[in-house]
Amino acid sequence: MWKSSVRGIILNQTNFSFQGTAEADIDQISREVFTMLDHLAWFHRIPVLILASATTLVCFIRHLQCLDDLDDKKRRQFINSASRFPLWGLFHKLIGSISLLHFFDQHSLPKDMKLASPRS
Amino acid sequence: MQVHGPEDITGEIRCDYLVIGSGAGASVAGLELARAGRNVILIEEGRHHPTESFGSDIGKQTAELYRNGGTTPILGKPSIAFAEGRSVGGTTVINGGLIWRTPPWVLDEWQQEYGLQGFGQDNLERHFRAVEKNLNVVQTEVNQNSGNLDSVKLHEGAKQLGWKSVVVPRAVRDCKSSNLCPTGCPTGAKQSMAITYLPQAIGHGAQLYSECKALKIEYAGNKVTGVLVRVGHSGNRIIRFKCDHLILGAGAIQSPHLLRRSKIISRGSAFQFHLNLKFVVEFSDPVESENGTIFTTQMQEFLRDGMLLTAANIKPAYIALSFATRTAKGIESVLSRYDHLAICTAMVRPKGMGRINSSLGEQPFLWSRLDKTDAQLIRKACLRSIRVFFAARARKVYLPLAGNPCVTSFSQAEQLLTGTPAKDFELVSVHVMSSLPMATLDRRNLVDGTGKLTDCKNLHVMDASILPSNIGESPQGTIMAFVHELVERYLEQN
Repeated sequence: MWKSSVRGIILNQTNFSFQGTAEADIDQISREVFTMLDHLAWFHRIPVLILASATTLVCFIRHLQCLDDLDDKKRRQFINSASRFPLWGLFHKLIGSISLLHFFDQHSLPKDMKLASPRS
Repeated sequence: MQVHGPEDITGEIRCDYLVIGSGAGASVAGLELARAGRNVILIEEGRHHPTESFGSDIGKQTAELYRNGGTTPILGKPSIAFAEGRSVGGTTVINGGLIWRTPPWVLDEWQQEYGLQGFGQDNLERHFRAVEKNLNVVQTEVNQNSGNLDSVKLHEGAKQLGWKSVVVPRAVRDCKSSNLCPTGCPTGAKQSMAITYLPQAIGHGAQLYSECKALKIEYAGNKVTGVLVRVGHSGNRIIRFKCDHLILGAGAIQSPHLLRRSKIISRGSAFQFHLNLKFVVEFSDPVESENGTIFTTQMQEFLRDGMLLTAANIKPAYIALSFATRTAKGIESVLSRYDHLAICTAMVRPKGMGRINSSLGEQPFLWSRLDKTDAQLIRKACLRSIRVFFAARARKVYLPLAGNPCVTSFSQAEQLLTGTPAKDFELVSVHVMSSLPMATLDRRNLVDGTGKLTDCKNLHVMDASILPSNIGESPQGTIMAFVHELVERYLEQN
């Protein structure tokens, strides 16, 4: 169940219009995020799991939906309000950071975003 | 370079000198002892990543090369993201390769307050020269044609204000500006320990074992007899490394943590650190910050107050990372001006301290408490940085505060930052030190002026732990020069 929270954050962070985030992207990034979380010590991992599960549960109760099933607007609203809680903010930032790293490993910025070409 | 892996270890191993770690301190110790003809083994917890294995896959390499995948928190108000390397070569594989000499006033302070003798500028001079020669320390050319336009801009901005700005000395040989220093240099230009001191140590007969995590130091009658080591990243194969002398060079967190877990010390778990404040700056002209290389100039006007400012040429992923709490649309709107954006980092030397809790198992649990004056120091560093940015014709500055608010003028920043508590800042640390400070004046010190643990006959600490306090500069050069001096003294006496 807690994986829904992680997927929700990944969707929130990587749904760029210049690439559109395909389902396969989310699956791939999720796998990378979970691998990265495996690097955490158990006492760091436990609060992450508790927070993620609690988030999903609250989300489920409020909307009868999982975080990754919410539409963009509702998901954003939920994440914004939850981020006011310090630990949840850390959790969100951790997952968000890892997913952004992996997203940009797989995608480059489009040319109209004026990515400079390397100098010769 | 021949590095032994777990498959090469079949049973108990014996050596005269066992060095734990392979970073800046451990590598110097390993090389100098091997050069003197001693029988040396180095063990490293991380894997060996040769230059040809490095690519541009930032996420995967961060997971592989950093401890905890780069996600170690130092909990407190605020919690600080801490990053250190975990691979053969230690943090030198993932740092910017800045090699500074210790500021003279810091050395004076250490001599007066900690009674350190023989670590003055004059005595360390030859060690710094040796390090600089061995690592090919050079000042990267900074001009309009070499990329690094963000550094050029900061340099000009600082000059306009009449503030001191210098080109930084870096350990590089024929830098190709791959701009991937934080995830392993793919061209081998950055002179990390993995391609300098360690191969030289092996050339002098030292042996290096990767994927060996020291779990417990065996200790009897004030003497170390060996170390229990877990071999390989998966599984639970424990091997005893017997040794006559132990050199601890696992870094400022892992070294005291190992001593406490081994019940050799029961205190000494405080540490000092530097704080980094990360700004995303949008300039009015394109800066193409991906072109060039990390850290080429540094604003040093306030070095003595404990503040530095530098531009970090960097990939899009790192800019996006700075906005990790925003939505995709928020990140996209910032990135739409990507060619005008740069990441700039201010470093401060706080008075606050951290603590290492070693009672929770293999991984230490880190806490920090900032001093009351630190919030003021951080605010001041922010405002000074912002002054330089606008002098360098910045249009917008995204601040290192929760939500990354954006300011378009200095007065707006001043208004926003007035009274902002330390807990509201987004802070990062990549320099931790002074967890086992060397001292001769203080009777409570755990490590004496020769790097020896006071209660132990054959255990020396030779890494960032022994620095008496934080130094306000990148500490690699200081660590290496100090270890050169300590090994020299040791060899004279033994």
